[in-house]
Amino acid sequence: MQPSGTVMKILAIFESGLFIKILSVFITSLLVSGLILLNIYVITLAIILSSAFCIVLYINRDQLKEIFHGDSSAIVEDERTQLINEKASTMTLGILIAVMIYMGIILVAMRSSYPQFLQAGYTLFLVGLFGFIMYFTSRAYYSRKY
Amino acid sequence: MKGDFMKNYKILRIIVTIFVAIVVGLSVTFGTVLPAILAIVIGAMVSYIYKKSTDEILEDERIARVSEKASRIAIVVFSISIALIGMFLIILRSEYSDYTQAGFTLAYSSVVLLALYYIFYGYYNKKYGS
Repeated sequence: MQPSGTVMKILAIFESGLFIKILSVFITSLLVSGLILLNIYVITLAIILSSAFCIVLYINRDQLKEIFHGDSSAIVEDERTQLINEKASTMTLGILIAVMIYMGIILVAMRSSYPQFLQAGYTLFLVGLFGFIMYFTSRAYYSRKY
Repeated sequence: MKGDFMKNYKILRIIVTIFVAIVVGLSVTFGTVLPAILAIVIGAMVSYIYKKSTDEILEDERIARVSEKASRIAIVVFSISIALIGMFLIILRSEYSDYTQAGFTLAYSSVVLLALYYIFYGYYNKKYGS
């Protein structure tokens, strides 16, 4: 009996480096969550999983470069998709940062009428600034690169 | 000539930014929202009218390319950061109840970000032929 397309896709994920990448992100998140929550059980689970993960990596140490860097000859994303992603990101980031800063300003300015939303206002304002800084940092990097 | 237009546009943008920042800062300090909204609208209109009134190219292709690439990286880091920080602040609501509203604000912001991104993705996907 031939396995179905979905089963083949799932098997392909396990065979590729994607599964290891997802697992490493999961273990890191688990460890960070445990440290923030100060929960010893979560930290222990993360340490056990990372030990098992290290053993798997040690066994496959010869293929580590292929797993994490990927096959450079393979086309992951075509130029059209890249263009669409970049254009969508530019529009989204521009609109979101502008809306966040404006909303933040409005909520902070209206603190006497709506004091319950003051924290939301400061958060939006600060996050908008954070996005702005992120954008200009990466822009400076790419300006130097090109 | 092109350089002059770009230089003038840069100067105008700086002046508009200073004007908007001063008015917004004052209105936030005094707790009135109307001057802030008016200043933002006037600033945006002045910038838009100047851009429309000149036929010259105010941004070259290299800058546009750099800007698009920067936006993509910024949006990835930004979305992951706000989603994770929001998630942790909501999870820790029993220990840090003061920051729960900030956590929900961040979580909702990341949802809006994703929604906007997929709307624009769909739009550009159609525009450049799916």
